[in-house]
Amino acid sequence: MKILAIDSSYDKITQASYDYRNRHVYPYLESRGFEIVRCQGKLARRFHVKPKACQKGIIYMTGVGHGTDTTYMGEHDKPIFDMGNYQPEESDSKVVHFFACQTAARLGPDFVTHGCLAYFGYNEDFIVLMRISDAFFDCDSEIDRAFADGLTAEEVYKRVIGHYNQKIHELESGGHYREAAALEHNRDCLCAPSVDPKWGNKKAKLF
Amino acid sequence: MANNAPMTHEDHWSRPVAMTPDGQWISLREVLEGAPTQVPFNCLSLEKQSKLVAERIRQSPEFDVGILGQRIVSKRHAIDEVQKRTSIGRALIDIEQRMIRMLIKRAFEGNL
Repeated sequence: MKILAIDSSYDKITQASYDYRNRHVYPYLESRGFEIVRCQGKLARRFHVKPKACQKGIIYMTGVGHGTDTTYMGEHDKPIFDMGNYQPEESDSKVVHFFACQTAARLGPDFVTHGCLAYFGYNEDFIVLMRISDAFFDCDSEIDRAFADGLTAEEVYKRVIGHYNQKIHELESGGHYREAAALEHNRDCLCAPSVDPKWGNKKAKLF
Repeated sequence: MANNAPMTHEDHWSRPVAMTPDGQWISLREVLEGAPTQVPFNCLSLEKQSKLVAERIRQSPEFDVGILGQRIVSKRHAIDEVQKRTSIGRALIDIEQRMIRMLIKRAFEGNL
């Protein structure tokens, strides 16, 4: 079982998230038996990603990058997946999670119409308060951990929302009110099959 | 996870959370003390909501916000986005509105 990791790392926010994911997310996925195929940093470009996305055995695509409603971007804002400019086999029969702004608005449903089993992402801007950025990365990456644990998209969504709620409570209790409010905003922008079938099948899972 | 100290309580108490009908700021302290004619945040016009949030950001001692679509946003840039009500501005307004609701609730519960 292979996972395609597509992570930008060229500015302060993507670098911080890239570091977090390499320290806390990919080791966990590997510990659950997945092979990680990496398109990270300078390799987070369409030239490198396209053939890997079409490889046999890739069942999940994940990563951090900047985004718009129609485009998931790689290193230096170069489009990797842009509506109307990718091949259906790149998204077909895969579960996809992109940690990026807005991509769930249009790119996610477009992926699903091209065979993507389930799409997790955000339909508005994802805000990170940098002084405790790990709390923000931690909430989002619960999606990856839950899929790696073999849960269905529906179960993943429930677990992730519960994780967000727990962190929001911890931050509010600790007097980090703006951070708690920002996490609430991000939580409410999370899109998944449980929110609407346009983001795929609630029963989709990796194994 | 949360390894920085929270902002001081005084900061929360003195910053605006509502307005008078003629557009004067009302602080959290004044709301709690029962300022007679207050327009709560959610009843303000979009323009006044933007104005209030811009002022709260202007008064923030620190502002280090990253956006996965825009990189790091400075305080001046954030205020500009809020005043123009761009997608980033609307997200920042949403966050501030949630924070104000949280602060008022906790202040009335005596838990701030």
